[in-house]
Amino acid sequence: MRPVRFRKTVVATGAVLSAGLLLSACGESGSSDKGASKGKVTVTTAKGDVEVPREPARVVALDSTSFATLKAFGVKPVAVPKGLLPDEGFEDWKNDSAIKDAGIHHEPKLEAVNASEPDLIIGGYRFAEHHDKLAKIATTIDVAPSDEAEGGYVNSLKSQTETLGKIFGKEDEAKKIVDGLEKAKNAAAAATKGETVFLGVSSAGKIDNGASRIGRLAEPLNLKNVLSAEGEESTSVHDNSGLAPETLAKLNPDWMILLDRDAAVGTEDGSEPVAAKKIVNGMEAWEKTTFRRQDQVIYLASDFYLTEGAQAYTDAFTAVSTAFDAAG
Amino acid sequence: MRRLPLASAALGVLALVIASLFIGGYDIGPRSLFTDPDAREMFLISRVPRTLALILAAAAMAVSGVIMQMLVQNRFVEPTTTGTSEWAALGVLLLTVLTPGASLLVKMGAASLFAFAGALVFLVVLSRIALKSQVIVPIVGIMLGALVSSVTVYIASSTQLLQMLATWRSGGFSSVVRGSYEPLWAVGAIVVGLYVAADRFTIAGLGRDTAVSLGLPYRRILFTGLTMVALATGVTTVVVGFIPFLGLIVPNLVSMARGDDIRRNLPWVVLASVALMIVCDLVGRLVVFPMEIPATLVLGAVGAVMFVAMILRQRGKAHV
Repeated sequence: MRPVRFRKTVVATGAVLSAGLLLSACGESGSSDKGASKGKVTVTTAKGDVEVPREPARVVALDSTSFATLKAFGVKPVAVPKGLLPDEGFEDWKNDSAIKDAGIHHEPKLEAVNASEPDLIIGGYRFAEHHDKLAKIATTIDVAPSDEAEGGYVNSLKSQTETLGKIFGKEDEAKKIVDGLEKAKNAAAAATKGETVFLGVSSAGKIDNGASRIGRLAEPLNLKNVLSAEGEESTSVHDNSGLAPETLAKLNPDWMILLDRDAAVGTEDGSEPVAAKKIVNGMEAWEKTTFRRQDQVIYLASDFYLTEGAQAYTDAFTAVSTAFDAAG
Repeated sequence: MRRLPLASAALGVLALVIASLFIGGYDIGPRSLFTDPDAREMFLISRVPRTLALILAAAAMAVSGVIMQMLVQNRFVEPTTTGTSEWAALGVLLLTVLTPGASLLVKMGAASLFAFAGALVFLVVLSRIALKSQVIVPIVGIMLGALVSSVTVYIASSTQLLQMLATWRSGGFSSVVRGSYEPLWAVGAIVVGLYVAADRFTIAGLGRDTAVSLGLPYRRILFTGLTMVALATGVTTVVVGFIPFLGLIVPNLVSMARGDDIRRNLPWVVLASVALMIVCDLVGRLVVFPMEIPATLVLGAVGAVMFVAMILRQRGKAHV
């Protein structure tokens, strides 16, 4: 246990230090003009073209899919929804009292957002419905990925990253992230050869159809959803309906990709998606299925449901191609 | 001659039980039971446990309704209209937050304990309200339930457990397999227990004063009744989630037809609720096949309509 904690501390400290360095670097050049002299940049958002300040110093980050990208850019926000931060990798944001808590999407703390005097608010996704209120506080953009976007969710992750790169003057970093995602996606698409798959979400000790949540992951891949026989639409509509274990045994998919919503509940540290694994391996009804016999179950990272950004998808695609390549 | 209607009702329920045993995602027919070992295995892993869970949970909730209606002397109470189920949910959630790895049995204990406390709170609040109408009683219960539920939702939302709570409450029977339903046998024992103590509950249902003057240890009966309800609610809530209105509709329909003798009504109450539960589950299994709608959702829709119909009917009577 000790080495892990030690490593975590080092990472966190390092991140704080580098964030601090970047901030002070920003402060030197930007303290006198508060972003104004850097000019404006026009970006395409879900609500049309918006003119935003270039390299804004005070950013409120609400869209959780953008957190990892902002961190990679060295942006330290002035307010984030602390309840939506993943357990690992964002300890510096969570523990920094200079970063205000923007509440969670069910109950946003608009006063805190306002008090943080932002130049730019990155809204959208879970906070999409609060857009108008946020826009009264400061320029608010919605560049969150969306299933409705042209080219689908994964594609819109790329445009989100590129837009953020443009705003923060980090085009090179953005390109690196996008290239990584593209590469992982292509590798996963090449590794999959038309196998059948069940896309599941585990919650409250049950495994249900999760097509509406992680169907986007399988979209660019060469996989056949066992529940899509009656059309893609119908499988995601009845997402929370439930699925008897025997039904899945009958459908007998070759693979299972699982988002573990119980992970945070089942273990103390939340690092391993143990809860779902327990259900899958303990299910008597599945003993004769292909995915169980050949151990072809991919568990997504336990914080996937919180992150869902370019980096999370890159990791998920990598997990898919690794698993499929290993299976041959 | 008098046993004939009951026997034919039992046959009807048996037909539903058989339907429940042979309808599902995995291909199992009466013939394949003998020829296909895989089908036979799946029958034992999935179908039999599910059907048993349906029977036991339905009986438990109906019996809980009967007990509560007698103890409170009100036709509109049962665990979901008195907040008892909501308390059970709060118990489970708190346990999940405090010790995530707790075993099923511990969770049931917590749920039952909270259900018991909740039923007591309901009775205390009720005893302090001047009741002008029968309908006020379930309204008080539903309000209390909403209060508790808002605390539960608040805790769930601040600990990222909202989705887990929703999935678990709307539960249903789709995930019931061998190894997950067995605790429900305990509530089967409660049904038997009620049958044994039925006459006492019937007398308790005449009111405290009458019961005491007839030599009945009223407090002890009250305590026993509440314990039985709390156990039944706690266990079923943990295993299959909320089962709304079942304990309300069925005992009332039976009482309307046959009067208030618990011992003679009990077989009818149990048969009718099992039938209703299985029908709701079959509807849920078939409409979006191969996926499922929770039986509890179907029951909630049917139950809500009947609840309103019963209240309107009651209003027509002079004493309300």
